[in-house]
Amino acid sequence: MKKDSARDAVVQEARELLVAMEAALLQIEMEGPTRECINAIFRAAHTIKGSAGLFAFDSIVQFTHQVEHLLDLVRQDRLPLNGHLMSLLLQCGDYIGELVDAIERGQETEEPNAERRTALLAELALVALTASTAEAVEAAGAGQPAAAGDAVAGQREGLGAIDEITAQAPADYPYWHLSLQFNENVLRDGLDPLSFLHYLRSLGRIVAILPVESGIPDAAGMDAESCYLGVEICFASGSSRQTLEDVFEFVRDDSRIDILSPHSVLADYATVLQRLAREDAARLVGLWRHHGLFNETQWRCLGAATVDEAAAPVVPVAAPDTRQRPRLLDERRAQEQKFIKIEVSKLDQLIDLVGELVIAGASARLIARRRKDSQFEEATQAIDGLMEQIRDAALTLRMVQINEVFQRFPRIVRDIARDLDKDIDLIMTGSDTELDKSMVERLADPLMHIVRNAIDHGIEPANERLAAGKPAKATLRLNATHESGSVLIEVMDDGRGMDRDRILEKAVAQGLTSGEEDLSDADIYRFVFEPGFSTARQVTELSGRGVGMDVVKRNIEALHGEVSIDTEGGRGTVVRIRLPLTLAIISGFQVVVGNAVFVIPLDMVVECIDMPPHQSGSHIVAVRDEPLPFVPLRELFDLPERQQGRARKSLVIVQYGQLRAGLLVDGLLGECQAVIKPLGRLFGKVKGLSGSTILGDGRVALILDIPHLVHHTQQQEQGNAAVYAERGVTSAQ
Amino acid sequence: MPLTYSVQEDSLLLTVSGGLTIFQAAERKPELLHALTLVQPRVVLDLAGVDEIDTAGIQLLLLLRRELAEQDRQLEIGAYSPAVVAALDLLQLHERFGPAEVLLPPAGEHA
Repeated sequence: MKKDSARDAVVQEARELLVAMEAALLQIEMEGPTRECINAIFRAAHTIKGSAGLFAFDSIVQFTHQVEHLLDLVRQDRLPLNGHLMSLLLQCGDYIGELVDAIERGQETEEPNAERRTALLAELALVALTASTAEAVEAAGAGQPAAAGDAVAGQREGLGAIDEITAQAPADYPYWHLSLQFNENVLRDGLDPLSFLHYLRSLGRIVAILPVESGIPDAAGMDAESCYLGVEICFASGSSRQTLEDVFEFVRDDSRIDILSPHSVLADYATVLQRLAREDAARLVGLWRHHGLFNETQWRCLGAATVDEAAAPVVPVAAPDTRQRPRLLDERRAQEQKFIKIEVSKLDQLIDLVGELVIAGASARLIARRRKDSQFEEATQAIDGLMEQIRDAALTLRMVQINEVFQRFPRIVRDIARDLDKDIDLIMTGSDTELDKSMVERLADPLMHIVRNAIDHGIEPANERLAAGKPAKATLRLNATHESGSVLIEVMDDGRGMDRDRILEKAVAQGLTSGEEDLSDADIYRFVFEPGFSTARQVTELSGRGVGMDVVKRNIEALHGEVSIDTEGGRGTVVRIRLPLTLAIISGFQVVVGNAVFVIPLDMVVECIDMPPHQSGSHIVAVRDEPLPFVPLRELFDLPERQQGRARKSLVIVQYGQLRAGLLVDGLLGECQAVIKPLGRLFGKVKGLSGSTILGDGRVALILDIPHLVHHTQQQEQGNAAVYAERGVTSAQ
Repeated sequence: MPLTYSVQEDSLLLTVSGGLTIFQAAERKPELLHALTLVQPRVVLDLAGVDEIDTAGIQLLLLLRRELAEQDRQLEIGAYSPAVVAALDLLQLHERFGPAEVLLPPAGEHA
């Protein structure tokens, strides 16, 4: 089942990428090629190949590899993106789509359409060959043919090394090529294709001829009087195109008569190949080769394409396929009913509207309360209840299980562990924890980085583990859970941990700290997230943690989250990522400070108590005999004393992570729905505030940035400790 | 008889005579394909008596060859008339009808 959901993810991702690729191609078609679009196409192909490779869907990997290679040539300006190439790429996109469909059906071992694949591959190889005539001459000297004996190996390798190979246009092919498929009635009309061939002989020399018999239906379906035979002819003649075309004047209707002049471009020959069945195509390629259409290196490239196809399992295409299609369509239809794909912007619009509704509802409730109209109030209460449900429903639309990210890890861990020859048990818990979709997507990279680091540097080789008295098999845990209004994601390993002293040493060396300050362990580990903190020297000595950790931190902070490290030498390391649950609407708790109203995210509120007596000047109170740091908000924001000053003040106790703090406020107003509006650019940098919201009466309330305030108290506490310590010293003197 | 069958060891010998063109194709098709219902692994065509052949005739030979191949059986042309040689030359089809190793008796002697 795991594998299935991974498979779905690959299919889903590939489909999205194909859509993006097609969109970029179409944009190029309309507006001309831009670097951005070309890169987008390349990335799409590259990513499809990458994720397919992860699950060993080889067929799609091999095919996409060729597409990617071609795109790379385009990207390097070695191949012009012309109409022909555009349509080829679109066709390749379609075929990748077919391969993806096959994966979805669980039939990835079968080639959906081997002929088409061959044709496309041949054409891709040909286009790649024509990439640049300038490079050709030199490369021809360098990449001389391998012995014919190791054909297969050589050909395979030839494809990979296309850019080393001459891409000469076939200037040295002196023959006409005639590709003929007569109409079925030509025999009944009394014309014998053989007689045309006889006549052709009077105009020149038939160098080689290949009857194409794959058009003949099976015995039962074959009408002995119809003409099915096609012919491919290499023809040496000094005649003009007109003369040759005139030969077939009588049969031109309904027949396919393609005449390629000598020295046509390779792509034209590829078009001919594309029409033929595999067997015939292979024969024709052989024929052309024999008569010098390709030089040896070109041959190797082309050959690789046909060999590839020959190596692919032969699939009875026709019969089972036609029977399966309708069933498949039904299934897809059923799925469509289960899921509707919605543009994210529409969803955002809905959430915005719900936000406005919440504000409007609050103002209605306010009016009802002021009028003291109990019926009205009752009605608004009912509306409130419904609105809350709508809000929650709207928000859950954007929520997805974090499993979407987690499910990639078993494979990744397995691969990295195998590469590094480590034995690792991956335990994932809480993968059904829900998180905003946009966050899940942006979480993947940082998480991957952390996991990679943990395996690479945290977990020791088996012998070292045994020596340290640990089981040889290491354990890596991924855990996700909701914790006071945020989502906590932990990556835990039981490796060697980090060396606190070395980090400190390094931090001092880099001038990040003087080394004399009294730093907590957490502060020290935080240095790991400094840009450029880790160096090559540390990779060995310090187990390399910190490589790119600054990027991880930046990514997480962009999501309004935070990342921290907890580690114990010899026992292991925990990296914790904490993310806000949602970005749009929260349940808030309103408080008054001076004349201003503030909103505290309700999830973070633990309790509200009357302010206990405390020592003035100190920012610590005793709550149930426990010391609790607090922030006097009025002082913090420098607000004026309330006019009708009330002696009693309240303390709102909030929790963020494992830290608690009190917020000293003048009054409590109760719960509310707060639609988060971003602060303007002017206030964006103000610490302690995370946003604003509009109250029912139209006033603006600021939303408090609890994580920041909690940290603030923590720092203050340490500052005080330092002060006390100093005082202690002075008094002792 | 324009088409006769005879069995020689593990080979089936088909002797065709007269024309093998659009005019006889519809008639010859079932006769030729009758070979598919027989069991000999090797089928040899004696075309020495064919005085005329066109695309329709060639198609029949190709069809027979392909259908036999699907049964893992082999079709060879053991004897040619000048008309057949000319047509096979023109289409360069000789190699698809492998060389016959059996020496055939002159046409007409068996019946």
